[in-house]
Amino acid sequence: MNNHHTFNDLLDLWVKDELTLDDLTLITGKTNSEELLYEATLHKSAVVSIQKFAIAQQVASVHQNYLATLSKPSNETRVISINSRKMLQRIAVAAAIFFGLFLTVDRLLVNPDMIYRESYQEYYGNTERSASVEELQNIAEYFRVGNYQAVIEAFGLINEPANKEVFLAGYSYLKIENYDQAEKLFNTIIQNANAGKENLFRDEAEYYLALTCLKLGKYYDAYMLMKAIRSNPDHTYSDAFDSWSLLRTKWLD
Amino acid sequence: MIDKDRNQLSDIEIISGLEGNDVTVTVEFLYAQYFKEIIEVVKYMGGSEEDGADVFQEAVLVMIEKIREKRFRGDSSVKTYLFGIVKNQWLMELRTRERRKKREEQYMSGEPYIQNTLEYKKSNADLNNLFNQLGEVCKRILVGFYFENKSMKALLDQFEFKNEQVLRNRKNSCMRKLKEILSTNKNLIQSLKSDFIYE
Repeated sequence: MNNHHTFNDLLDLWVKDELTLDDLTLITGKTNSEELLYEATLHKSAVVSIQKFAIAQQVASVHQNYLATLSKPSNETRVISINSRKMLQRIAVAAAIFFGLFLTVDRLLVNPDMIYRESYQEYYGNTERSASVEELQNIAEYFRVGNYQAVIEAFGLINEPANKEVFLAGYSYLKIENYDQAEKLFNTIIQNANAGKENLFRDEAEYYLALTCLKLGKYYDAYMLMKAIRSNPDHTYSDAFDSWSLLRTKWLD
Repeated sequence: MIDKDRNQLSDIEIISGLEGNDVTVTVEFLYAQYFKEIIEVVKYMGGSEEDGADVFQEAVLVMIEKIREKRFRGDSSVKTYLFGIVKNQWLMELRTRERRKKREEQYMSGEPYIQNTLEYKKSNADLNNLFNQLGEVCKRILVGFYFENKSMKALLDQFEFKNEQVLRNRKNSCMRKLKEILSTNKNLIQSLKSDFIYE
């Protein structure tokens, strides 16, 4: 058989069992059966290789795709991841809000000036108790009209001021925001009282010293004074500081 | 026709799917159902995850061949059959590795034993090399005609040949080239002879 293409077509028919080897021998005229058998076997092997290759390609494709999906995070994992991320974002936002609120609260409520304003009471005391009536009249008059600078100047002229003058001067320093001098004078009254010299104006001195300490940033001293005043029901200013003010003052320290 | 959206396929549907020309959907089902379990089996038997993946791929190919050759009699379920193939494949691989290890120890004493990829991957690689030498057009023509059982007319619509005779000439030329290359690999011919699907 001279036509190779036709021989191939015949081998295809043999592979599909549409022809036998005898048919092939007869049709092709190939008398060498070994040669024909080799040709047929090679053709058959080629067809099998094509079939195996085609299936292997499909399986390999599925295999690769499947391994690729395994190496990717699953949808469920992604959902969890997204949820986790959202949850973390929410926690972060909540923490930021909480922190913001805390700062706001801290700024608005735990604020020495606010505690000062809430606890402050004007002094309207009488001027009867004094060693020197003339000097007291001057100081009392200046104090009554709210001329605190004049009170301080008049106080400077007194040789032996009593607690009353010391207090009015200390209070005047507080009013003109000279807190260091106010502190010094209020402490003088307390030290005098502790020394047994004079106990007058001790309650007033303690109360306004506590407020002065708030202004000076001496929060621990302020807290201790406030706590002592509040815990003494006989103290003139026992009700001046509530527990909330005490707590906030403690936080300041 | 297998419904892609279904989660379960019966054994009859699996067999039917693997007998067809497009085995993709059925193979995807097998991977989804059994891949992870088989990895664990191979790991339990001393293999790695990569070994398990390779063995599973080969076992699927073997099962497809058995089913197409009508050598799967249905005495067991498809799953049992597949797992049986996996175990046999892996035991064969272990024996091969052991033999090779001993041989290498004998001839290369002192050299560390390097575990190569699975033995059967070599024959798959041979097959790939074989078809890569043919070129893309030849591959598609031969697969279309000999595997997908497409007629010359159907193939003519797929390729830009002048007429059916030109296509037929090209097909025969591709086949001749394939046989020439194949004839140089006696081992491959031998393994193919034992796997002839139409028998």
